Amino acid sequence: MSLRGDGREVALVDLLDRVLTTGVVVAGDVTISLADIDLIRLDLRVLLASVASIDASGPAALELDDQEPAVVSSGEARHRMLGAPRAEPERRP
Amino acid sequence: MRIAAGDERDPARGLAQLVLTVVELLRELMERQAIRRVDSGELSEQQVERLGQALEALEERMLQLCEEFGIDRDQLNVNLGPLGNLL
Amino acid sequence: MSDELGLYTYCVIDGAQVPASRAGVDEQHCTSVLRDGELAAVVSEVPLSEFSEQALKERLEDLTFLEHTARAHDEVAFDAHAIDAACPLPMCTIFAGPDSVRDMLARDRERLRSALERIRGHDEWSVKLLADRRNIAAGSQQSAVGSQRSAVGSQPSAAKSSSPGHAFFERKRAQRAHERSVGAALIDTASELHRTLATHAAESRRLKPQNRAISGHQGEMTLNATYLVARERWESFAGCVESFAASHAERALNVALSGPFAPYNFVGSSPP
Repeated sequence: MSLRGDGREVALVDLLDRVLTTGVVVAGDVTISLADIDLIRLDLRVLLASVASIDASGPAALELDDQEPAVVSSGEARHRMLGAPRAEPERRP
Repeated sequence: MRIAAGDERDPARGLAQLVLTVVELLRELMERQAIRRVDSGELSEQQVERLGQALEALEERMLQLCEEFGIDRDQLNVNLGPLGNLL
Repeated sequence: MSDELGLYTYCVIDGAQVPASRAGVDEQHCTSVLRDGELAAVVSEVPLSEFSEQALKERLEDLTFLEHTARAHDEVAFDAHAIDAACPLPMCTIFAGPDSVRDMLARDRERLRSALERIRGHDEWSVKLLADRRNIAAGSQQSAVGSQRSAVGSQPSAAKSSSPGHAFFERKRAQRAHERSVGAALIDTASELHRTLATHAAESRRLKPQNRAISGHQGEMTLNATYLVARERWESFAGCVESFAASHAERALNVALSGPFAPYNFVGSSPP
């Protein structure tokens, strides 16, 4: 569960999902931003691309309609970082 | 690309896990293919019967192999990074 | 040249606020507030040699540095947001100097002001729904497999046809149908939970499931969502999570609530 205030414990993955890829995107003369940095290592690129990890352990895998392809180029990850909304749009019932 | 072959503390077991994972992948692929063919109605009753028995024997053999190596069938898997798990 | 400093910018706040100074991402420098009229930014100096594109590219691949920087960034934003609204920026947004930061505040003034108003008094909360399919499907499946294992080729009592080969396919068909229905039920449950929680939140957003290799979670993440919850409504929001968890206890579903966070997901360039 969660704790408020100083006792707040937050999982690193939840944190990275937020500080790396969300937050207000500002215009102007930015010297350096994460969007400019091409992170090479596979697992970090995976993190930036936020690959869907629906468990396909059975023959009938879940099929969500806007699931993205598993392999994403770093260019696409960068685009996502430049302010394109990372989250899925609200699904209509 | 790193492939996590299960138990890295015991290389022999890790290797068995990797090999069995590949075998299981093939078995599942064959099973799926067979099911598709049966559902399509293109096989005779005799063919369906033979295929079913063969696949049954294969599945049984797979479970035996897992037992022999002390590997839980649910543990059979290989993580391919962004491609997710193999199985 | 090697001493040249840039301004690491954590978040944007109301110009009247002065959050307490604390160590920044670079421990040699503390945070300070840079004001431009109605808005301000929380910043700290960082040596550009260590925070250049090249340097960051290498350093961010080191998980220790990544974690340290992420946590330090978040703590500054979180502390600021706890006092009064703060729009967190993405990690590692660095400006050349105070003028650049002020230019940014001036350029995005309206958007930032309305974002601050929207998030003031609210926190972001993460809710995830984890399901272990094996526990859900265990009952019916195990008996089917078990009866098959005892003697290969024997006839399962539930089979419609008498021949073992055909019975094999029938068993597989039933298994797949069962898994599909379990899958569909999980999707429905996740959607229902999200809809219910959204009624207790000002804004909500569904996110992609996390990658298991990174999060290490058990089971299948059928819901990964984040909510902007007014602080005075947090009790009812949390209560809603708890009652959902209680009512689904027998289905091997795990609801994970974590937070609070500064509202990273609710300050973006486009409205939700």
